[in-house]
Amino acid sequence: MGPRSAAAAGAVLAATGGATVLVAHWMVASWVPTEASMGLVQRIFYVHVPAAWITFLAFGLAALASAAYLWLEDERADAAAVAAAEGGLVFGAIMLVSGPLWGRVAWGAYWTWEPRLTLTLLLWFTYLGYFLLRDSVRDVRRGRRFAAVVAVVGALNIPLIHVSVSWFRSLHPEAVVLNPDGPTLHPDMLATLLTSLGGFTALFLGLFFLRYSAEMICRSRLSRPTEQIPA
Amino acid sequence: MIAAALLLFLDGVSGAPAFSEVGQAPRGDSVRPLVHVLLAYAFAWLAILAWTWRIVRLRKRGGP
Repeated sequence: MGPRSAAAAGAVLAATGGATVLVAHWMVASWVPTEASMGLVQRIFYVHVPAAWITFLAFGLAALASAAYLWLEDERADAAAVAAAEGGLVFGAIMLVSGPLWGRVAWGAYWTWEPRLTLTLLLWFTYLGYFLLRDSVRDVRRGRRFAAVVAVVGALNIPLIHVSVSWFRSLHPEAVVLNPDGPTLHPDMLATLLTSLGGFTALFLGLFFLRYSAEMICRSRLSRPTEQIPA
Repeated sequence: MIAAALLLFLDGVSGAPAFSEVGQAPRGDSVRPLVHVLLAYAFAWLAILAWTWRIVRLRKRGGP
């Protein structure tokens, strides 16, 4: 996909996603019922779960694009990996901040070193390392290749995070939506969650395309002869 | 830092222990859940807007 078409698709997706997220916020604020045992603080669920889903989606995309770059050495794959990994760091930060804010009221502690939290923090730092490694190697091409390996290896953590609540003792509940017996949520809560998930996902994809487009524009400008680079 | 300071302040004024044990959710506290919800949503938007701003800046400058 070229930078121009990516930017156009990104702008449409980001605007649609942003508007849908605002609708989801209205549902969270005045429509969805309050959960019986946790009360008001459970409303963090509608931002925490989408942030977690997008983090895994983004890092998964970064790993796939990195694998493509390692195989094909196509610059577009590397640009897509950078855009996805950056989005993963942003939504990962949202997940890692909203979770403790919820946990402090629900569990009585901001943080515990339980398997899912620990593995998720490790995932976030792995992709932080992805950017640090890219910038620390003098040879740009080698830096990109090293970072691509980190992205692919780091993504192996994602399925482990998903099954950690079943395999290990965890404070996190079992899946309430992707449950083999069907969703265990109240229908209104499910509708709010799905609206929020759809909105945040479209917003992420929009920003991902815009970031990819910006990355490709940057690279094309930097690859021009020196005298053509604007001051 | 402002959010962290606000949280520490709320921990102090809410009457709940600052770092209570896991599994013992603080009770009788009506302000903190609302503040935590607002902080979570505010941080989400701050992070998204910061990323948007970075993308716009990159497109304008044409280089990282």
